[in-house]
Amino acid sequence: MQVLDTILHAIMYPFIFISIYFQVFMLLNFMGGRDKMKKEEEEMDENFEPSVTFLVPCWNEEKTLGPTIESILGLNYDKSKLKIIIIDDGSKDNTYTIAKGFAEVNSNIIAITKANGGKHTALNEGLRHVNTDLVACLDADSFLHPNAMIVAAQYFKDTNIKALASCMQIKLPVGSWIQRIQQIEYMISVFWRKSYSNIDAVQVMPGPFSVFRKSVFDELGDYKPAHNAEDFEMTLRLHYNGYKIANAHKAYVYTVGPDTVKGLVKQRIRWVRGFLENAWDYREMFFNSKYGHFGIFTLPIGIVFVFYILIAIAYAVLSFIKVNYMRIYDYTLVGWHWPRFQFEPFYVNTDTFLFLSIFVFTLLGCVLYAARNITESRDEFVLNLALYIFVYPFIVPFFIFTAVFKFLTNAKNVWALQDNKA
Amino acid sequence: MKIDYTKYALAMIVTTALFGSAYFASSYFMTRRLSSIDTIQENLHIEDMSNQVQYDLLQEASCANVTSSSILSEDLAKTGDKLSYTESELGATNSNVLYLKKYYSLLQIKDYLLSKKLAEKCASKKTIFIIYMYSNGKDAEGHDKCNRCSDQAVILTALREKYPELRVYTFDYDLDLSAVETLKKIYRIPATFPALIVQDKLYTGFQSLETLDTLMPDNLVEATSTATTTATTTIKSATTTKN
Repeated sequence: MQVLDTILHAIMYPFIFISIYFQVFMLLNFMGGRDKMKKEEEEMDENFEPSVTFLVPCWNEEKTLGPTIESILGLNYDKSKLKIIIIDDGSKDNTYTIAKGFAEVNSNIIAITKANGGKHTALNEGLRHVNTDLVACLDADSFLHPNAMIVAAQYFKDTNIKALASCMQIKLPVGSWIQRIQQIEYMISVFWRKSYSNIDAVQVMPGPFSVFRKSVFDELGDYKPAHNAEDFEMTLRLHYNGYKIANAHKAYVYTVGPDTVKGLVKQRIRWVRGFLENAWDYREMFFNSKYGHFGIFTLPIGIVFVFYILIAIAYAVLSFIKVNYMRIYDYTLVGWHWPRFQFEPFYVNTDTFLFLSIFVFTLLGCVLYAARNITESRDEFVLNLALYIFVYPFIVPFFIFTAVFKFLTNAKNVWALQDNKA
Repeated sequence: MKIDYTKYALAMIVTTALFGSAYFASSYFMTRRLSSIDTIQENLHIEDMSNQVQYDLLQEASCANVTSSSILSEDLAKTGDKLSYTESELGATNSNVLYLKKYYSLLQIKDYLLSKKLAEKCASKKTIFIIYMYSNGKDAEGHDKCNRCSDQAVILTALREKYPELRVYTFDYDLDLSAVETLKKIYRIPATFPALIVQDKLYTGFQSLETLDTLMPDNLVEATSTATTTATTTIKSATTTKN
């Protein structure tokens, strides 16, 4: 048992060190960019409205497509400069009928239908019809804040910026407890994205809403299959080619997260696997200073966390086995007896692990505080946070383990009907 | 692309400082624990003297005037518990732990002698004594001297919970203390572990709960409910400490 304890500690202490280092580094980045953020918020030129085409790929989205298109039409933006292309990727429901309905009454909307081929094929089909300055990709289950596009457009005043990541949040009110967990998770991602953008190392362009210069596709080509993670592959391609990505932290988009554990696990397996496989495809970027902070920090830390989460799972399982083994062993010696609970301050655990855990959670608190200020999210925060901290760790192992297993065994990718959701 | 590594270095400094703070905070609270044990031992010293006086008074009075058959009572057991916990946290070779263990062993021997005299004087048949010797040490080949001491501790704890009048005194066989050496000589306790003296009779090797149960006198009162903290609860952790 002592050997097991030693192994567990040897595994967990480096993990805690990396966790704290990561959070400290991200907080430093965030704080270092506060003036820049303030400037971004203040320098709003409402007359700067480059032409933009919204690409809305959809597959069986009859329930949400209407509100998504309405959110584009409701943007505070010069409507003559807005164009919408709805690409139905072989839906089996009324998605295309709804899309056609919009196209018939609005000359700026085009509805296209094609055989199912996956989200990237739908986006590429849409790209063939684009002749505007900017291209905005919007998922058909995501809804824009009225100011999202005018805020996003401001960043393109800087000609060096080629692409823009938005501020993605879970659509409120949430319908299930699993969406409550995602509300906190997305909030933390908002903080990460802004922090990374301050060092030009945005980790991923969110599928639900990202904006590109049209020239990006002319120069770098269309979307690729990219192991079902075309948004991450595009992010890698942009960094690989030295294209600058910004983050518009006030360009809000609200997306509908999976409302079941099964749905969430399925989505996350695709995300994690997509991350691993695309990162492998671009492995030359790892620890390569040619690709800036993205190469030397963002990519490696992502991989470290995926594999360390596996180790953390092993730690939890081994600890559980150890405790129960000792209980069962004691039972074989003296039979069952209720453990005695006596509270005495002397026995309050004050080992190093405890204080490090306190630091980890304090830093998480700082991250959430900063993220709340960006998102202005005012949902039932405490309940959602409690679910995130106490329930989510039981779900994470399923999708991480499965994704890593499939990655390592190179399990066959299914290219049949594709889930268009990001 | 030119990279500014300042933030990486700064983050490393902050993280290292946080790790250091956690370590020092933990050490600080451990030191406070040791101080609290010191305080308890001071209190025990007073109680020890009080019991000696009580025993002296007994020469002049009847057994009916003695409030309890236990001398240093639960405080001794609680100190043992805390000492074991401290030992598991700091390691068996820590100088503070070794000092406290010696002091605790002396108090146990004193309690044992007084309790025994009291039992003889008052012809009490309720109290029964067990001396338990364990070892945390390694043999010449690097193997644990006692593989089943922690199991024996679990057994003794259960036994003590069953019989509240049972008094178990726990000693580290390898403790460099003349009083413990004397105890080993008196009872001729070999370096075979675990070693138990039950009713002045030596038993070596692991003793099961059933075996020890048969050694208890028939008229020993069994507990009707869960017993309170006992001296034996210290043994388990004491035999599983870091070496």
